[in-house]
Amino acid sequence: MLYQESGNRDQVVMSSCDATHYGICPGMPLAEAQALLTSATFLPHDPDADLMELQTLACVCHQYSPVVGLELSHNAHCLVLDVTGCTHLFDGEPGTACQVVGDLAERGYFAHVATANTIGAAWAIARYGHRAGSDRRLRSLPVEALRIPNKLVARLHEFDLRTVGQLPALPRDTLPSRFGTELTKRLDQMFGRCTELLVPVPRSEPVSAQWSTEEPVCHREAVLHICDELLAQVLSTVRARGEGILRLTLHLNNEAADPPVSFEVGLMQPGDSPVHVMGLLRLKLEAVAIPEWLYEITMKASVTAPLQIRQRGLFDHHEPPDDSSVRRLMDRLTARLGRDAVVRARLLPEAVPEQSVRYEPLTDPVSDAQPAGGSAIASARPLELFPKPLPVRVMSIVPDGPPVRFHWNRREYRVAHCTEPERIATGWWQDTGAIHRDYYQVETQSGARFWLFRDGNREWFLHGVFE
Amino acid sequence: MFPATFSSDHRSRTVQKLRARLSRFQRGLRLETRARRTVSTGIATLDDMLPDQGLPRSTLSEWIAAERGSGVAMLALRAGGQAQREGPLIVVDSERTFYAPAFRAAGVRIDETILVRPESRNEALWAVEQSLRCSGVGAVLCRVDRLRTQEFRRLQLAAEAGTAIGILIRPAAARRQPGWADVRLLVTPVPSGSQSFFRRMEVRCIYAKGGFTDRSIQLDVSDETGVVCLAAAVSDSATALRTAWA
Repeated sequence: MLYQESGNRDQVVMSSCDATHYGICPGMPLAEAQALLTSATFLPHDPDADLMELQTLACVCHQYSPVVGLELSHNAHCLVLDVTGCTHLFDGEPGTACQVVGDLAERGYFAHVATANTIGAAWAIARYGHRAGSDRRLRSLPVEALRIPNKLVARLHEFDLRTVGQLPALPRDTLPSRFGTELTKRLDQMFGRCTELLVPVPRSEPVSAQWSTEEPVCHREAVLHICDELLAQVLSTVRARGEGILRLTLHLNNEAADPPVSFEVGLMQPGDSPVHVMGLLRLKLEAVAIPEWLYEITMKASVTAPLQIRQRGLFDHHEPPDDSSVRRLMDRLTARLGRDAVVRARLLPEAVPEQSVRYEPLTDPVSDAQPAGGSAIASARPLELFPKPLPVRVMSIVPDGPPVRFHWNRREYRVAHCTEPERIATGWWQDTGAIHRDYYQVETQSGARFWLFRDGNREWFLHGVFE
Repeated sequence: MFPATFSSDHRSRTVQKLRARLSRFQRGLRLETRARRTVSTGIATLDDMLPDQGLPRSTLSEWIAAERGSGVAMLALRAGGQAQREGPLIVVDSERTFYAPAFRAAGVRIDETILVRPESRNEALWAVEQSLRCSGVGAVLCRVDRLRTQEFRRLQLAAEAGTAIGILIRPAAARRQPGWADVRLLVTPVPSGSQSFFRRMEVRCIYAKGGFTDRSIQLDVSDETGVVCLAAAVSDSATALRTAWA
């Protein structure tokens, strides 16, 4: 139960559903509520914290729509999403609504969601409606659904005007003089007769922290210490938004005219652990030559994302497997070896062996543009394939016949038997030009297996080893 | 004379007693190690040859190729694929020659495989050490040519700290070097005869901690299906295999 000081006494501002069963309602003096329900938790109301939290949720909702605004009329705050042209990505309007509810539920919020043609209608249905919002249903809603102040609601009630539908029946010219212009404005906004601006919540600016001095530093330990402090500053701002760092950029400006050294570290999952991020920075700083006479260090969280926090039940023993240790390992490997050195393989439906696989950095999101595992080749492929085929000297008895003997690595191999040739050819219009190869899987007299091919110019190459 | 006979009798009895105690200790030790989780190599006959019925977790195993093209990587990857049930397989490949489209035939799931491609040998060893130390990793596989004793020991300590099985693919020269691996296997290619629809290789266990060594088996690997089975020792198994796989 939340209370607020009003005048010289404390008043209940908001209460849970269960509390209303005990007769507690907003506006009641706190002492009376405490007498009715002693076991409840009473907390002072903090509207600023509420607004901050709502803004965090607005950032979360950016994944459903590029334009997310806050509706702040009369302390009944809510989020407004302009989903025009976005719903097909989430299985239509009902699908979008379901996903928004699910997403907020994961964060511990119970959300009322409504989709309608105007902001006014959506607000009314979300707060007071039940099902589909046709114009007729909108008219049956109570006048409170018009986003008007409580005083105005009370005045309308004095005239026994209880539903929205009763208002258009009155002469429109008399409404502003009797109840003020706000009532007609809200009515028009609900039924789409006048425009309503949606002010989007600004997307979060990149967080940065800077350190500068007159006396330049050149010790590695000092640089690490400064980084530690900058990281604490950056993390405190990022954490306040409920986000974690995905990519962190560091600029080292030196006094000499050299260009500033800058590098970045990436994380696979948004993180806010200073120890882990600092560990990654250390790995990177070990590999980078730190310039002397540094006078300015700038740290910027260039990419951030909401933290994935899921509350666990007290007796919930069926936890999902924790793969955070592997993710942290991948972060460390990527920080030290580079993005292109930690990869996942993606098979492509290409006939040319070196083109039938693509290696993507593990930090990149999995793209489903092309089907994974698309390789349709059933023939045996060697486990070791040279990036560039190695030219070898091969003897064969008949021209264009199978190999009989070949030299590789200062050694002669005698072929005991080989398979029928597998021809791989591509068109001249492809990037690599025309490829014409006859591949042979050969077994030497000792039993070792190799993958040789003869190209269009009748030259032989060793392309792989069946290790 | 009597004391001499007594003493020889006594000695033989003491030796027998000690032998029995030693075998009891060894059995106890074996049971203890078996209680630790092991990972199958993916080949039942090869598992039978190893004292723990597979490769124990948190240890290193060396797979030594007698020559190029012996098929050692295929057997090693098969073991790595079995470990993928517990976590991802990390392949450290500084030469950038491992060819992912062939992984599936060796029983490795590509979506559970992470390839690490460092530029230098030192970085490769660092990556292997870090990966072995990590607790959620299933297996770490790396081809290492030269390995100093200190480096080997570092890798073994890293493996002990983590839960993964470490698989090192080594060249023939590594056979003469001492190592810190719990299992050392030598893979030698064997001519498959006139037929070429399977390949044959001999796997010799040259060292296994707490077990009999210098045992060997011959394996046949089908070219089409990738099925591995024990080679028939009596006669040329080509005809039998052809009927079996037809």
